[in-house]
Amino acid sequence: MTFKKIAIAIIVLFWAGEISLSGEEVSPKKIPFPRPDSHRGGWLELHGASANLNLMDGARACLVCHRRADCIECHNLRAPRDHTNTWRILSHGFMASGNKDRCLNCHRQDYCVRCHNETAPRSHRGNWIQRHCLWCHFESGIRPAEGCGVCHKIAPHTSAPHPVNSGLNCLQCHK
Amino acid sequence: MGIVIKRKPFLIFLIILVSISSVADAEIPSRVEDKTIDGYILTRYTFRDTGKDSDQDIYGELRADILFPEKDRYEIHLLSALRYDIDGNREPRYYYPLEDIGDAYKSNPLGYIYEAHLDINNPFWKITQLRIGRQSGTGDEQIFFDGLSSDIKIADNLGLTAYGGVAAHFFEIDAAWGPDWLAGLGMNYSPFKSTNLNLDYLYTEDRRNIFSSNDQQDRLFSFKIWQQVNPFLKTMARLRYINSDPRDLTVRLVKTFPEIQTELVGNYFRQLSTQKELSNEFSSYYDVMGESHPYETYDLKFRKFFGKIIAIDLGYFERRLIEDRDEGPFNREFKRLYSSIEIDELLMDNLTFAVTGEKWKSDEREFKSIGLDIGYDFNEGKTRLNIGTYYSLYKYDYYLELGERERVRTYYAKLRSHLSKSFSIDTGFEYEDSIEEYKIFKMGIRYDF
Repeated sequence: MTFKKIAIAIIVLFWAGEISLSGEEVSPKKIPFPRPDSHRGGWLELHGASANLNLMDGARACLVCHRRADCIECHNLRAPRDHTNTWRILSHGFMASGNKDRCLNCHRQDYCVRCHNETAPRSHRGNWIQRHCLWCHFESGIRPAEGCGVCHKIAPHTSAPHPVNSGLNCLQCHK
Repeated sequence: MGIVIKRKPFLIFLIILVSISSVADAEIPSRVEDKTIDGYILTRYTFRDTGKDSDQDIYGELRADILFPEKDRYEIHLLSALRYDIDGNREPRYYYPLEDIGDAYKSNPLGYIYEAHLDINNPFWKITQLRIGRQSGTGDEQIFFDGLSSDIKIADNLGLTAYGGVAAHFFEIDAAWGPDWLAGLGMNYSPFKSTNLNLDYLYTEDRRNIFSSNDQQDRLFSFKIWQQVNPFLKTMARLRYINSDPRDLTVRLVKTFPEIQTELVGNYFRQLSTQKELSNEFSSYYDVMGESHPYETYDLKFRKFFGKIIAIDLGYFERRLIEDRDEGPFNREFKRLYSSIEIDELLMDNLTFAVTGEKWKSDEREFKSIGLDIGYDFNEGKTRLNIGTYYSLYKYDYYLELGERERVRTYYAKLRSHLSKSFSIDTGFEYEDSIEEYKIFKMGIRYDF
């Protein structure tokens, strides 16, 4: 699979008439009037508070154009711009550590647990099995490091009778 | 068949794409005499590549809102999604740079049904609507369930909503252990035209293991008041209890100054007690992050428009712990500042220019980002091209990761074109330079009906 094939495919679609930039008989706006001025700029940051207050008293200003399913659609099927690949495998923990409230706008606990239980983090590669002793225990004695505990709730060797430090050769005993 | 799919995934995608577009051009009537059907069907192909690994996925979405306006008796609503991982690595024990939530299941493809309910309007007595099937809640928490709900109009200024059924947890690992349940009751009362009171009760039962000895049973009580002081000042206050313990307090206001095109939003939130293990609907990620200790947040947003040309947003957010000793790896104090500026028709018609920036700072960690987007509408507004870049800097400065920095630079180009009255196509390419070099190509086709 190469980008060359993708480029060829796009050309084929143009050729087949499936893509056209002429835009004949096009009406892109489903809602028959322009979007409100308020929806400009950083509206995505603001719309939660505004929607909450506009839903009072059955006034439902939002519902003039939107249906309730629009909320579900966006909060379940559209990812924010900062949800990059790096976010997926690394930085989401950084942000969740301070601002999990933002996560709660879309994600329930089962989402975290599912992924942390069924996929491996970036550290788990190469000779990870040999390396993991010090990674988990260094400077924290027999207590697992905080990152390990996110996924590994049961560590059968936490009752190890000795503290762990970088001078130990773990594999001498733990094979 | 599986072999064919692995060898010719993009060809198959093309066939689907062309087939859908052919159907679209066949002028399926979207309004059939006594009913209207609104919605869309979407298919999107995604190709991700790191140089060493690649992954191809196909996504699908279907939404349909079917109304029968003649008698206005019935409605049918459907929202569902499907994903198929064509060639991903699904081995859970070792790291794979392109794995995501879709790889966390044994089954492939995966389907999600968010809404599939029949609504009956004014069926009998004072019930204004009865909903049957998979549906979402509209109260304080995001809930999905399979069951029944009904809106009851007791009086012009007094309404009730009652609902209950089997809870839908889309990602739960222990789904086979038995059904989870939820039920709720809400009451809306408007003593005056500009005042609204709301009481909500939600009970959830979440089975947490096969022996059922640690099942969670939680009750959430919520009290809310909305007050519209004048047309340009709206306020809200909410107090919630969980299992008879105070859970949180929220106070919110929105003030607009239309004469100077300015808006101010303030939000105060305080978690009042330590949150331990709770049902999936209420948990603040206890299973991953542990207990959530009391904290408070201040959130201020300021918006200013300069005619139709410039829109400026400024925001400040601060999170404070009630007790300093509660600070931990997943419970931090931090401050966040963000700003965005959007300028329309800066140099020429139909050209939009937007800059966004954010700074997030705690004692030991810092995050900065800046993004730039240029959008151009052409072809009488039927086609839009966006190009832009986004940069994030993460600084980890605590003991094990002293001095670690992660930089993420993303460049993107997106093209959306409405090719016919209800038929549009989206294409996009992203290049992400970070711990890996990601190249992402997306191509989607959508038919609105």
